[in-house]
Amino acid sequence: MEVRSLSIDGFRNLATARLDFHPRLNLIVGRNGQGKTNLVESLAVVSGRSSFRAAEPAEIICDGASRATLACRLSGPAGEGLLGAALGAGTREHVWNGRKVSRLSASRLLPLVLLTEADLRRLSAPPAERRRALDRVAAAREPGHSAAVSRMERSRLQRNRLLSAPHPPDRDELLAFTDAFAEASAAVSASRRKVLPLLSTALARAAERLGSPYPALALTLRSDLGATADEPRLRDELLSLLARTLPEERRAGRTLHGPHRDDVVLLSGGRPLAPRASSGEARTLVLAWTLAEREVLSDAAGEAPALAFDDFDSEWDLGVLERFARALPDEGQLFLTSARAETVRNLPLPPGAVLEVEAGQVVSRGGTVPAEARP
Amino acid sequence: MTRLPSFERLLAALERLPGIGPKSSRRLAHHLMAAAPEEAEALLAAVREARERTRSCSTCHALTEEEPCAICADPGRDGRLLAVVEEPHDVEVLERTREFRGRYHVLGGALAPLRGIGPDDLHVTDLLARVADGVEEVILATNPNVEGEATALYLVRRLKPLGVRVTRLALGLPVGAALEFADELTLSRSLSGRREV
Repeated sequence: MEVRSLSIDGFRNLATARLDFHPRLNLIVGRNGQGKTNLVESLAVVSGRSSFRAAEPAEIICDGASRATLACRLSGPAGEGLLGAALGAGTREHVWNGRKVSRLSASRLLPLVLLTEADLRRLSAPPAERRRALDRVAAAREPGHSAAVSRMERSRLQRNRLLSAPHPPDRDELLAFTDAFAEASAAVSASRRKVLPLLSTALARAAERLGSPYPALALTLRSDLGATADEPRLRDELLSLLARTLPEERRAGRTLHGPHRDDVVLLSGGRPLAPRASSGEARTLVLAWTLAEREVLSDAAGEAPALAFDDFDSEWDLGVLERFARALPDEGQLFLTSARAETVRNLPLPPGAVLEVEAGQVVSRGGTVPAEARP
Repeated sequence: MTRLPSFERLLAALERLPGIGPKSSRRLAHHLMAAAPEEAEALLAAVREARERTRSCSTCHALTEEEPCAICADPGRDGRLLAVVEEPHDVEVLERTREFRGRYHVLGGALAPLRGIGPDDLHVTDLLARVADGVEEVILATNPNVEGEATALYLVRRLKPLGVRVTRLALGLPVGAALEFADELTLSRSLSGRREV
């Protein structure tokens, strides 16, 4: 899949424009605060992702506009097409060749792996961050995973309301929402257990290529439930756990056990790595996680997803960046933003185009020269 | 801009209707303003008459102008078969299939603790009474969302002790649609609910 072009209208500070992209590398350069990250964010939004910076779609719309529209011309094995996103106050719509599609479909049409500043603290962040990263991969590989996550969250909220009621809840009603929660939870748990080993193996390989000093890296799932990926068994296990702990849950007024508490822990030699890794090492491991996500998504989609790496060079030492550039697979589109174009130009990156962003205007600055071709 | 308080009240009233947003309410309101007086009057009269004449059937809680409703009164319908639905309009949807020859029971909603809707707010007690009176199979036709599923699970718990057969509507593929356009959940449920041919 390749993003041929992106049309932007009313999105943050970006000027209305149609940008043509290079099939391999797009190096987006410019001083800080000019709109480089906005450009990456616009790709994330078209691809069905939540914005990594704004909670409300309205915050993304540029001042004075009533809506923001984005449209990507895509070409891939399934042919060419136009994937659009329209954001209004409290509304968000995705369209593929004129037909309305869900956010999940948009993410399938434009598979995109992102690495932004918000991801850099993933190893030490609250578990929800790591769960989300795992769920993205599960959603790409396991049919129905996203829908199961929504059902799990919805039934948990309904159940919490019953548990927190001042009077004892109707027994059968509580059991009905417990059943609904357990059913959805089992589906979520099973697909997380199926994709975790794939992500874990790919991460260990990527970390090695990036020169991580840690041996025997592996991702493990900390969960209230056992290691099986068998849905009926997971459901029964959760049901009996919830039955045992009901008095405790009534006192707490909420659901105390289930996959909403899962954590994904990175181990080296069987021990958690987050407390030991320096911040530089932790960032390199997040980089490895991102490459692993890209690899697993690639296998799922049968084509390489695009990789967007915001502020590509600011937090990393040159050695890691060089190894990253060498570790990049031979296919797939790249979007890298950088405030220090001269540093990036010396990396062994594939050939591509340079786009310069200044005060929201994006101007094409010709091609990059791969390091190998330089005298 | 000139203030039009009565027109704005009409806009606000229309916007409260389900499925009507600000744009649609404006279009409807302008249409009503431009329409012949008798067209607007006919709409008012139709709303008034429908509200006055229709009520909820005391047996099944579907909308009716007679008591009991035509389906409950029809001796040709199979009283051993009862389809449980959330809302009166679900009865119309199932009736359009011309497939179902049993009777209905409208719950008046689905369990939704977050909105304060519990079993006592639904027509559950009289469902149990109807089932005890000669029903052999209850088809749970609540919506396939969290609230509808939980309501079905709740009813299973209440109905099973009565020894009645309880079934759930199958989830499957829309007829006439290509497989590639089915969402994954529908497709995976269709797979698990596949049948021998």
